[in-house]
Amino acid sequence: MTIWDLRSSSINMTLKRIFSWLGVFLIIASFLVISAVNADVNFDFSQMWVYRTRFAQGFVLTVQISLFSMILSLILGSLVVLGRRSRWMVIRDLAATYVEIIRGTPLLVQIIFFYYIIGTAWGLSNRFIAGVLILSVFEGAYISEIIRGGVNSIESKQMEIARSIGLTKMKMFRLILLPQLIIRIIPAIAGQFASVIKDSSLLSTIAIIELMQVTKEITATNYSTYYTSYIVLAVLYLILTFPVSMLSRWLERRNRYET
Amino acid sequence: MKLEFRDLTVRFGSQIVLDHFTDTIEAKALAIIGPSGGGKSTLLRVLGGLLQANDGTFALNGQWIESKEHTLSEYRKQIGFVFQSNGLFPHLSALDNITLPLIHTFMMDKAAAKEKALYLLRKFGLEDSSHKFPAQLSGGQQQRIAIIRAIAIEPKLLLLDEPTSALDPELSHEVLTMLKELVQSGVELVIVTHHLGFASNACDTVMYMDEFGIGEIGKTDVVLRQPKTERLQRFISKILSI
Repeated sequence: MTIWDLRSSSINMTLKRIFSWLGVFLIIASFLVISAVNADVNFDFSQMWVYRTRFAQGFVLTVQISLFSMILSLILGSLVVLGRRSRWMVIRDLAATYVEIIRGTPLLVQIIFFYYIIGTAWGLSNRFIAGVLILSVFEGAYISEIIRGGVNSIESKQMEIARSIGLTKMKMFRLILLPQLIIRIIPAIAGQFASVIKDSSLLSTIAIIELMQVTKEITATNYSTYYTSYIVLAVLYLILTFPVSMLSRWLERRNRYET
Repeated sequence: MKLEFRDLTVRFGSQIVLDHFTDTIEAKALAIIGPSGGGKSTLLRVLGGLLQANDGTFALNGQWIESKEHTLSEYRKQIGFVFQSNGLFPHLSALDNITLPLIHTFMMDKAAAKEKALYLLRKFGLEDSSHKFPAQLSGGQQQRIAIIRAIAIEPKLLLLDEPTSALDPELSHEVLTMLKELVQSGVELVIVTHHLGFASNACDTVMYMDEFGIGEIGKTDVVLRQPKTERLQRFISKILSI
């Protein structure tokens, strides 16, 4: 194969890519348009511009809640993993029970329970802080399972090798466990972070004025914007989740050492 | 090396690997042979300080090793250990695998550690592999790099747990040739192996072990050519009959 062949085949690949994406776009768009026509729904996006500031405010709040919750749930998830490996049985059981209860009940129920009962009982009235805490407690359970799976996937043999080399426990963690763990769990953690963004919409139940609540309010006062508002909402969530999944894919590719 | 055992007792699950074993072995290269499940690897782990003996102690070159984690972790730094397979860290290049113990256990300067690793890689014809990750290397190259990592720390003793059991004959040969060179250059080792040829060519002392414990210990010529026990005779003829 000559250089020209290689180059033209890579151009062919790019063209194929573009056509493929165009095809995907057309399929989805026509499905939506046909559905809208059949359902007799009119989309009038011109009305949306009026609400730009409110959407922007909701967007910013969603970003803030999500960012704080991601950090906090990561810390909480890591602590729970440590708790499940604790030498005290009661700590191990506590950590396991937390994961089971949180993963076994709907987020909506948790939001109501934690905000109205626990929050009230302990005098937590700041909705933003309460929202971040509730979301972090919820996502932390899932993140702890992701981390635990990652730790278990690193063979115990590697720890024996590290021991045979004479590494201290701290160095085993820092030099052997952590770098491999991060690479293995990045895709799953990114997926969970995307869930954090989407799940934050349920905080609208306790009247935190994030994206979802903004949309609810707009559509409540102006019913004719009902469908268009939710489409704008969906696009705004995609704008947030898409970079997360792209970043994860990029990190995954950059850190791949196994061929 | 001089290995002294005093009442050394090692159990592995329900199996008694060593039962109040007391003896002194002086050897340059000791091969431990015997059927699978005879406790060879368990004994090697005890010798490497990776596993605590249930009772009794042993000494390397006159230094008695207490069965306490603190003593054992200091002792492990003086020992090079090579595992059956996958003994390298998959997220580090060959070079980084070798320099890791030098830098992080022996606090060697990074540049000096790298220089030493590269010297050894060159010496054993592996300089092209220095920046490759374990998954990009053949099983034989991986084992040779694991051996380089183990000898780079200039251990008092090199321990190898069936280093060729996961390799095809050609790659095994490559690894065993390297080990033979090391023995000739004065590196003292204990190797658990199924290669009677290697035991007989490269090792001056042989220990035979099976599920009943240590069967025979002695100079290679004597143990392999004139086995006294029926167990060892049967083991040798079984291996040679293939």
